[in-house]
Amino acid sequence: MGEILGIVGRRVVATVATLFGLIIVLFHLLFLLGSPINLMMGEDGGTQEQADAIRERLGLDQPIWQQFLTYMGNLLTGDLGESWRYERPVLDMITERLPATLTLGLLALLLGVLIALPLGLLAAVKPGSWLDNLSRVGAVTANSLPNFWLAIMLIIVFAVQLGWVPATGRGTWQHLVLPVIVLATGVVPMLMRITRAAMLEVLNKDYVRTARSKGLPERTVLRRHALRNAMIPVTTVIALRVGDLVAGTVIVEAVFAYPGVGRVLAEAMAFRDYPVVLATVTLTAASVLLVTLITDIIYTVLDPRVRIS
Amino acid sequence: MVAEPVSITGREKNRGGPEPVLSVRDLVTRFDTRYGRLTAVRGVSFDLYPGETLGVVGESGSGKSVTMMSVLGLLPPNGRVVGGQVRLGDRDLLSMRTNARRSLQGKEIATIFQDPMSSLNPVLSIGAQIVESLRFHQQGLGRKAARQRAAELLRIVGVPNPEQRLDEYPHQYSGGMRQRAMIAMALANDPRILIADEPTTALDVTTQAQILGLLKDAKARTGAAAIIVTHDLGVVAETADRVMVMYAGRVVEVGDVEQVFRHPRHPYTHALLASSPRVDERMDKLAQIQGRPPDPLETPPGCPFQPRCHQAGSREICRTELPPLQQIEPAHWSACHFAAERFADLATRPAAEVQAAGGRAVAQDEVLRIEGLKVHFPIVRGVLRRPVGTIRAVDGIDLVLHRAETLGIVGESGCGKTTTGRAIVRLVDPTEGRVVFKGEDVTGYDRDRLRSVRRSLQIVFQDPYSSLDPRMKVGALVGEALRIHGAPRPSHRDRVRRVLDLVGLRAEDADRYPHEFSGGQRQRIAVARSIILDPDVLVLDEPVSALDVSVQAQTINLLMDLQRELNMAFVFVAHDLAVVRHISHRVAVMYLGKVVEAGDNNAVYENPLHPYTQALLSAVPVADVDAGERPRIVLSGEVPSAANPPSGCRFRTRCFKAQSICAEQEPPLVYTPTSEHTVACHFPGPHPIPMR
Repeated sequence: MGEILGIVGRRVVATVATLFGLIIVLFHLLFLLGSPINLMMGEDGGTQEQADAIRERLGLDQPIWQQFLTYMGNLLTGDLGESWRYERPVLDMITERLPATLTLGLLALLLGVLIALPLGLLAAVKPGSWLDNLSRVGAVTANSLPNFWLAIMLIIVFAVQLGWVPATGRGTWQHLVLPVIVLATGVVPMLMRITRAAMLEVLNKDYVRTARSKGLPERTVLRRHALRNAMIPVTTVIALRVGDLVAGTVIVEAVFAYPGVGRVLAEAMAFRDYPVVLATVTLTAASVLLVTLITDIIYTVLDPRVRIS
Repeated sequence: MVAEPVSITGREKNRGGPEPVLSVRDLVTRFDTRYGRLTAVRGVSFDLYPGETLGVVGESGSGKSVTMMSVLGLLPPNGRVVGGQVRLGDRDLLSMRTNARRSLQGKEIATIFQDPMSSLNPVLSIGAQIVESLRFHQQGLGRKAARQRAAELLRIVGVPNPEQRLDEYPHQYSGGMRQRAMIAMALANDPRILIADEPTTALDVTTQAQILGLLKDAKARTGAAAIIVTHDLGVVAETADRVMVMYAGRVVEVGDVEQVFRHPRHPYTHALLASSPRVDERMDKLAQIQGRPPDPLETPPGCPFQPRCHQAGSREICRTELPPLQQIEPAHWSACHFAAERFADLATRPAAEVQAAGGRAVAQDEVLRIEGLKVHFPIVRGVLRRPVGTIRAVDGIDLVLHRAETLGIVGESGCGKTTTGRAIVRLVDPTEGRVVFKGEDVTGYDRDRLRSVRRSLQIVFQDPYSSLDPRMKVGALVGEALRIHGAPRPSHRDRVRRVLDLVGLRAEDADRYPHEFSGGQRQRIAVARSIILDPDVLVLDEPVSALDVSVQAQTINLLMDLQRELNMAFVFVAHDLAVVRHISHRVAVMYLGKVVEAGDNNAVYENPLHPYTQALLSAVPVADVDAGERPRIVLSGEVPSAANPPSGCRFRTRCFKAQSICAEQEPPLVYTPTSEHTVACHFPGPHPIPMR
């Protein structure tokens, strides 16, 4: 247990360092995008004095290193800044919307895993069977559908024509059905194929042959000896998808007019509301890193070999 | 394919012995491959009697392992038993349902596989893997009792501190310990039959000796019958009661081990025995079996061994009729039309040539000298890669190599022999010491100057499959060095053709790709590549250890011929003591980064003075049933870590002569008053029991 804690400690340090580096890069990238002042002044524009006043109020008149230091200083005290557009704390804006996005993303991942894992495993146990072939065709098809198109199609059929679920918005579980399906469709194909490949590889391993040679029934061989080994690469893929789901809901939230973090980000980008952009992207990155960290920990539990090195 | 009628009716008719525990009849196994349908086992029949050990030998592709996997029902998904019978007592295994059949495994038949690392589940503790075997077959056994029994099993197979080591995972065990754990698992339910598929092939020779001894004990303990599948005739000679020789999916000879080894009745067995180098005596030239095994996708009529047979000559019947397995004498069968004839000896080299190659008459001009060579690798940890220790792979050795001489470097894995070879050609940089080539200290050379020396210092690697670029044609592979070293272009083709001819390949082969060649041929390509610049020194790193016995003999003979023709000096790095004895003029025995004994080949092998050399030599199984009982020095323990070697003499922790001085002072490598070679030991001298 002690060695696991040691590994976790090192990973946490590495995670924080990565996040810090990421903010530096992001901050400067946004700076390169240019000044948001003109956009904020509106169509008819304002006077130079007005523009300078805004610039000074937002601190944009200072050199970039100073802006950065101010930002980082605030960040360390938990202050993510204020939205330039709405003039309210960014933190509030995000925490308001976060539950919606998390609900959507996690439900989609759960659904995806529940479909992909059994299908992938069954396909691996009986390669070449009708199930294997069908799931292969299904995976290719699902992978080639752009998710905004699928979303629109689903809205047309199930919301507009059949009227089974609402098309847009948030509030009841019915609102979640279509977006969750769309997002899950993005998860299933790759996860299923990876599961199948991992399981197939493990089934060819000598230790599976050893397990059979001990006389264990096939069910035990699969569950006890093959599954756990096959889950090691699969865990990585699932973890990567978690990060994707927080960030990847932008388009889906837009199509379904779903009020999540993705919407906040899309809107902020459109209006060059940089503090909001910076905070949302950082949040996404942080969640990816957090999930990677958790995966590493799961790894050390799953695979005793990791604990040594 | 119709399985030929086979007439092994077993011993009971001849000797009135007991019923066989396992009886296989006319077994045929096929594989569906992308090249077509391949018949790997073509009508194999044999019996296994209670308490006996049956050795099954053959080269790769002979069907020996596939036969066993067919018996066990452990074929890969593309393999299928399409004919025959497998009877375990009075049950016909092939007609049983999978689960019913499987439940006999681990209980009545237990299996030990070749590679104990890949055969153990990496994510389950050793204890869990033994306990599961116990509890599945012994329903009433409680969790605690099973754990106790598992610890007891580990103790039986010689795993120290079994209680603690139950909770460790396979990667925390050494190779030998893993195989012990594997055996413990096999013994869990007192099986009646033990099938071991190359149980010691992945292990070092001293570990092999431990494991073979352990298998013998285990058999004696349980009274189980055993089948040992191996390519090593020595292992069979030392462990088996009966031996079954397989070739191209068929049994070609079967009989009592003494009879088969003394008077082989099949030309293949005969040739196999003649082509194995021996550690206990020096042979002039290895007999070699020409050609290679038949393509399993094709089934030409006649005897499958006919194209390679040195006895058949041009006899019509061998080409047209498949010889059945027939009884020659009591308990001895052979599948040769002319089994009753006395076999002629295989062609060997004329005596005069032997003098030139194997004799001691070597010119004494030095080409390479290594002084105080050390190669250390840092062990690094963490993101900052800070060094936390040093692996002392090679830790101060001196070697001298003369023109046209072969220096053999032997030792077990981790002794530093491969690193030494690589340091000579500067694939790794020495940490300390000097490499002097033809009187020139090349140690400090930079890249450019090194390049000019490299053309005279070449290396051939162990694995002929991964060491040749698969996307380059043979001509380009072999000629690449010419281009790099700027030889005039027009002469390239001629030079490549000449070298290919030297190594026994055809000029047309230059336009083919490596994958079109067999392992032995690929190693010839690798040799051609290394000699094209006419080097003075060729480092051969385990050049034959990936090859089958018959191909190994061809390759060794080729190397010896090349040395005679081209006057090259070889550094021959290998773990196989018999091969090194056969090819070397002088040898150096390494242990944990040090040379412990070195000198003239015959002197070291005939009169080893270091306890480690003695143990090594005594551990090698010899393919001779008349060699008599050799005393075997079985070393206890394992090789210590090269990161933290013992003080004083490094071998002292496993030495049967160790005294307090051994821990305090490191013995120098020196001549003793009476010895003809050097030894690094405080108490050098012959082993109290004569070696033979």
